[in-house]
Amino acid sequence: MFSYRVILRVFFIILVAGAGWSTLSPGASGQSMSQKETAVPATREAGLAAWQQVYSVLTHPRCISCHTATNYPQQGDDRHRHLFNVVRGPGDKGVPGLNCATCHQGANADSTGVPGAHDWHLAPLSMKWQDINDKILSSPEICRSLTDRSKNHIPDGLLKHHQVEPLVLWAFQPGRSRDGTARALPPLTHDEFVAATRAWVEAGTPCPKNP
Amino acid sequence: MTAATNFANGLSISRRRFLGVSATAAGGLIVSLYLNLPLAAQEAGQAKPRVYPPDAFVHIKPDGKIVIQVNRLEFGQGVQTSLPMILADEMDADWSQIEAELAPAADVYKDPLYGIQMVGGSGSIAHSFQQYRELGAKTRAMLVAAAAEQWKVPASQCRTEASVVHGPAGRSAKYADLADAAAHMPVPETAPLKKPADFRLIGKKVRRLDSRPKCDGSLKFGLDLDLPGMKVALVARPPIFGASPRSVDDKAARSVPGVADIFEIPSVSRGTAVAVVADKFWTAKQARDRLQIDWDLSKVEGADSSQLREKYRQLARTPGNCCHRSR
Amino acid sequence: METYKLTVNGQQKEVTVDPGTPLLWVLREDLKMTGTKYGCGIAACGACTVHVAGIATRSCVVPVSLVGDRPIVTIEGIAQDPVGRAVQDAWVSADVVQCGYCQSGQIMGAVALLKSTQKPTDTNIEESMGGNICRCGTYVRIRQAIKSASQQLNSGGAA
Repeated sequence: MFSYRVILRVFFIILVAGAGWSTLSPGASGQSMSQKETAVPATREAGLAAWQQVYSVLTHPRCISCHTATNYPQQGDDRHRHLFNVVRGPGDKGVPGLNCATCHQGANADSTGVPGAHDWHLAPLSMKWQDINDKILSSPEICRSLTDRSKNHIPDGLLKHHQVEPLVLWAFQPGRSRDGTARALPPLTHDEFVAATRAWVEAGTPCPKNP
Repeated sequence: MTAATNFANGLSISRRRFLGVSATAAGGLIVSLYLNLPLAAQEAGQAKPRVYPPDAFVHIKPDGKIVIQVNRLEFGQGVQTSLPMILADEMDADWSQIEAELAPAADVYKDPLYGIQMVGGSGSIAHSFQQYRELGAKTRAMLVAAAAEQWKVPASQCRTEASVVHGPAGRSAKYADLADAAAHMPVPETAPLKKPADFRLIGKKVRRLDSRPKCDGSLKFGLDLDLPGMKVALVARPPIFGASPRSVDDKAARSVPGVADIFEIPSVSRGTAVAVVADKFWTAKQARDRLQIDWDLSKVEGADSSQLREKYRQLARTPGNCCHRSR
Repeated sequence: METYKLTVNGQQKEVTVDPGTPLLWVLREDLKMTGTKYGCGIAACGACTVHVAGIATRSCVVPVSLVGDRPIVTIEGIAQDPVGRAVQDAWVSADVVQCGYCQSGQIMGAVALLKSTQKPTDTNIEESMGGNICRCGTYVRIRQAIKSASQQLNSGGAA
């Protein structure tokens, strides 16, 4: 896992360099797309590479465990079915008496091992990134899902979603488990994830073809 | 006929027959406890009945409420309601005024058959049915005697209903008003019991005495007790029965503010556990979770599934103990 | 140690505790309100259920530092709510309880369900109450009592 991160980082740095003298720099999040006038238009290859970066984060347990196709979330690095009979409910927030908020508060509860962020809830079924057998969907499938306007309510705000959505931010500061161990982090930092998203969006959100 | 009903009818039971009944009754608990019965109950022939003073079991308050002491723990099996029902029925008490309390620890509340204060072995009604009937009947008799004395009429001309004694010529008196005088009456050796056809509570659906407090958070369970100077202890238990700590590093545990002490205690199967004592649960829990214990597993049983199965196969080939032979 | 101002059953309470202390233990030990029970400590059983800002909440895993000024309602105060009273009355009429240890949490869960869903179906009941476990197995009577409380509330009759 460590070496995978290194490889991704190196690849990413090359990607950024290769994409031209973009205004991106480490730690520079929140730069608007209007500054791209100094950037070289990204190639489809660069866009696909950026997409793979994004995909690597989306399919990490910290993200994909709430992007299920079923009526339950997952938990843990092994993404087992969330214990205690919790269910999706009609609004993706659980059911009365057993809401997500029944246990998950607005911030991580490290003293008891319960992760938390503002408005903890499941992603809608339109944003499922697994099949009904909890198998992770392929890169082309998830890419199509994100770019399908009939499914994704926020395709235009995707960058913003990745920048500011509390549940996205949570994945990069996921708190500690009950035994005190820190939860595993996605393969990119939040800044890197935002940058990859931006690069993919600027390249026109290309999707890989099916193998 | 069970041993209980034989006992209730005052029939003498031969020791052999009582043993025979016990062995087929529910649970090994009865069989094993029989060996520890007080000498009085083990004498051949009739068991010597114990005298139970009504005032240890029934308290009639001036406002009419009647508090009955229950000599068993209620844990959902219903004795908090059923034992008072039995007493209140014979007493002809107004059920709406009945309250029940868990009896304190005392000799008089011991199980009449087992001779210890306990609950279990399906013994609550079996062993205390007769006892609580007699308590109710004697209390009623004393109330009637008090009224009869005040009115200067024979007790036989009085009847009772719903916490009231009715005398000849329309006289009546509430139990609450007779309680003081009744307490000074001699406790009768025996008192007539109702015929089952006359039961008003036994066998009928009545208001339970434990429901409401269990629904409003007011009933105290063991964990809810708060005694002066009480501490809380959590225990770090061995991962396998019989294990003991080879070493305990409690530095991090003791650094949690509020920890009173940390020490080893015996555990099951001759193992050893580590206890943490503090003023509050969360303190004790944090400290217990910070203990670094290296467990010595050398003395654990080392059960082996295939060895056990082979042992069971061999046992299955040998004759066992006969529990019941149908004719 | 930090000091927190909590609103519990409509009353202001102040406690000084370790910030990570679960709300359950603040209620039980610092406020001496033992109606809310400890069954597992890992949000698996529901015995610790209270309402925080109207949402059924497992107090054993919520640190007191995350409560803020959201009002807390416990089993000791639920009778102030007509739905709470109806549920408690239905529980008594149906003879729901056996040992009773889980029932504070069951009642708080049922009240949350009925305040949100006036006529819960069997599926509603199973999903909403499925996280409250009862070793005595009173589930059948819990279901009956929820339905009769719902009928009672919807018939327009106050408790």
